[in-house]
Amino acid sequence: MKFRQLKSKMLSALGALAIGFAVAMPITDADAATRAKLTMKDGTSIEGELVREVDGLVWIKIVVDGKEETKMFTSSDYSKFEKLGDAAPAASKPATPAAPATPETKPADAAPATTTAPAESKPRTANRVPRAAVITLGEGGDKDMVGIYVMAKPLRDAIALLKKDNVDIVVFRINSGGGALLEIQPLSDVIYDEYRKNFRTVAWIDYAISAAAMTSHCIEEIYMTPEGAYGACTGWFGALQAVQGRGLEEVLFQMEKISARGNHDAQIMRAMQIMEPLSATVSERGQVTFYQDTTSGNLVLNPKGRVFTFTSQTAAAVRFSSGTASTLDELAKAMNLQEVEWVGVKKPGFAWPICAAEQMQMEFREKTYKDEQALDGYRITLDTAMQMAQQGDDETKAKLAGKAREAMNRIVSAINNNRNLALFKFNIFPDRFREEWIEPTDKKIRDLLKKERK
Amino acid sequence: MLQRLRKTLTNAVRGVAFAAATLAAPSALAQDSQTPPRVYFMELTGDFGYDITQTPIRDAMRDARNQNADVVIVKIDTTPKQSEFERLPDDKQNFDELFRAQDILPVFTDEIRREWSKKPRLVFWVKKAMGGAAFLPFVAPEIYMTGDAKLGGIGGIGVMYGSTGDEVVRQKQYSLRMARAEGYFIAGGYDPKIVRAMAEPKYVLSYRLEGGRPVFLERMPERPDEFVLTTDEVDSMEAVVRGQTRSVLTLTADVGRAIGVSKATVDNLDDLLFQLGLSRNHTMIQGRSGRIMEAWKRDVELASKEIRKSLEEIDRGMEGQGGNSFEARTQARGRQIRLINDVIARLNRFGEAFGPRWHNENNVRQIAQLQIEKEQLELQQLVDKK
Repeated sequence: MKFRQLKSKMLSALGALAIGFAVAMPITDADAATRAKLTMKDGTSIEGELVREVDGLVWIKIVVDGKEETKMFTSSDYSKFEKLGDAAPAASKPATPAAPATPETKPADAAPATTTAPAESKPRTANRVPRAAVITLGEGGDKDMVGIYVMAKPLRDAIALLKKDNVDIVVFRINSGGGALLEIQPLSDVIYDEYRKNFRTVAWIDYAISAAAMTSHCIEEIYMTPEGAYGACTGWFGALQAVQGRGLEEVLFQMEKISARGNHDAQIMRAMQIMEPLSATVSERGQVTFYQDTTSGNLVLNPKGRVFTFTSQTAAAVRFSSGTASTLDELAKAMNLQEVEWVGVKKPGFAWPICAAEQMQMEFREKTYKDEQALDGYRITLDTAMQMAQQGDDETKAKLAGKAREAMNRIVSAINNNRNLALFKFNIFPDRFREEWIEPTDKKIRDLLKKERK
Repeated sequence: MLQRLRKTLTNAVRGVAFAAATLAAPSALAQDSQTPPRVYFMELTGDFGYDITQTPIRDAMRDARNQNADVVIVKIDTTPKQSEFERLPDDKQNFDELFRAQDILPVFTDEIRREWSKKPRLVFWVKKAMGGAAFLPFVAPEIYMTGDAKLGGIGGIGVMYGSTGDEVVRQKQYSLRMARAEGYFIAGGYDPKIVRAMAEPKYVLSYRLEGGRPVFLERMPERPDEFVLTTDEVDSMEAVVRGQTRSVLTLTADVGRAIGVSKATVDNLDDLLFQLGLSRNHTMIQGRSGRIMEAWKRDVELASKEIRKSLEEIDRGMEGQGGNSFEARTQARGRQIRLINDVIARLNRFGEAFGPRWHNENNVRQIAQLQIEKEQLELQQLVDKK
């Protein structure tokens, strides 16, 4: 518990998001090995290699728990931003001793000679209006399950399109009731390792439940819609059976690490996963401290015996969310964007322009939906055609073999679009689907035709 | 003790209702306008999710928008096809009509923001909104209630999973639902504690008035000016639905006014317009909402009958369809495929009204199953010979 509280304080210091005024800054990518210092609003300071700077957003490379990480800070986190000029490798200054954040920056580890991908990506024009894109993760209704409709691969594929569109800010609009634990880590990795380093990455939560909240949790900058909900992350299966034992410990540990990625106190997610109470105190300076009980904090968020879910009110009260917005304009205001260009084409029925990357997600979900609905039918057609062919003459066999192959090809196309359908529809691990299903099925169909030739 | 508590509550509510009536004064702001505000009226009646559903409501709202409505009044009076008593075996699941309401709510929120150049003044007028329908009025900043109004019937959340599975998973299910429901109340400007009291048995809530506004307290009253709304008593589900319980809150006109949900109690449109400050200066739009709602009800009922009729014929198979020749079999399969296509088309068009309960009660198969049946017929035709 002590470790957790210490970690909690450290993370709060780094991640505390106070509502403040926008600091207008030119949009530039940082030069390699330029050092910078941030004076945080709580008086602490952070110093490290400046990776990138966009519209008041600053990415600095620091060392956390012995591991080098690029952290993002919004203009509401810090009161002063200073560029310190070129830095010699390993010559970084330690941060202010009094600062809670200082243990995370070690002189010997800071300021590697090279910058990360974002600084190497295409140069951006200084002083231009930042370009933002909305990417939906789930669209509610039948197309919201994490692991089927929210997947890492189409998100990764979309990055090239976002770069082509010169996007600076990616807003993930989340509307999902949850899904499969197995996709959380790949999603977290692509968001944390690739999006966050290329774009100012923001989550705009309408409904992020269970795996959807766990996916979003690696993002620091979270906004909610007024009706937004975020949490209820208990793992379960079958008839409301809880994941227990080693499986539970693994996912609790996994989410501690993902909480650290998002600079969120690990106790928050723990209260969302198991029936741990949660309370919090917000100091006069806006610093939030969480407690895994109902008595230490001034504000009881989760009573004993309950599983925790944030509403927009509770998320704002403990600064888990940086603001509440129901429209793009409100979101831009909450994000301190004085100007923003939303990338994409306006289409009827959509509250935001549809950019190429978003169009890709929509098409992926649409194909997955059609395939998911039809897969059982394809399988039954395949099986029935094969069975009927056993009894028929050569001409009938040829016709039915053709029908069977058509069904098989449709199944293969569905799995190629969405590999997890192999698991959820065929109970076969995606990596083994070719070996365990496609090749044997193909052989059976070819065998039918061989008999016909005899 | 119980009787005394109930009496105290009734007196308290009456007292507050009287005070609220005295203080309530209709706004005169709208009457200052040079152009009379254009008022659009729609009435949502029938079974929630079947008659009261997003497509006709969306069409009516678009009609209101096209007619440049400044004020949209939505009167809601649900009449479930089954009596509330008969629904009780499934009542544990009634809270989950929240997710049915979730399909309808954006018509009044996101779509207004998206499709209207000037946001209309949205007013809900509640006669009866029970089950999932209870969530609808709370999207509007202004709610009025009739004298005999009932708003609630969502008290099953704490018991909806009974003892199935593990407690932590049941708690997860309750938590995600409550957070969503609370979110809708927050978005509408209402205290989320109200929906907790409406949905969560044994949640204790009382209130007192400070400066004419209710202050909610998650405990029993401790002072004479505090009034109880819900207690930790255990009530029967029958009582929950009838709004006669203490464990969960069903809003009546008096309670609604007392806690600031209802702006006033009005029993006719003229009184409502007066309360809205529009009685002397408004234009009532002759909208198509009545015809839209009636057409939907008629079409969905007809589709329901046609689907059942077609399925009966499909299930009879090729029996009695003109002999056993290849031509007769081909013709019969062709007819069956056409019938299946018809059923699928109707299910697609009116699918929002045909929930799991309807499918179950009418023994209607899902579209995916019908597609499989169609494929089977095509395969049979493929191998059939003269």
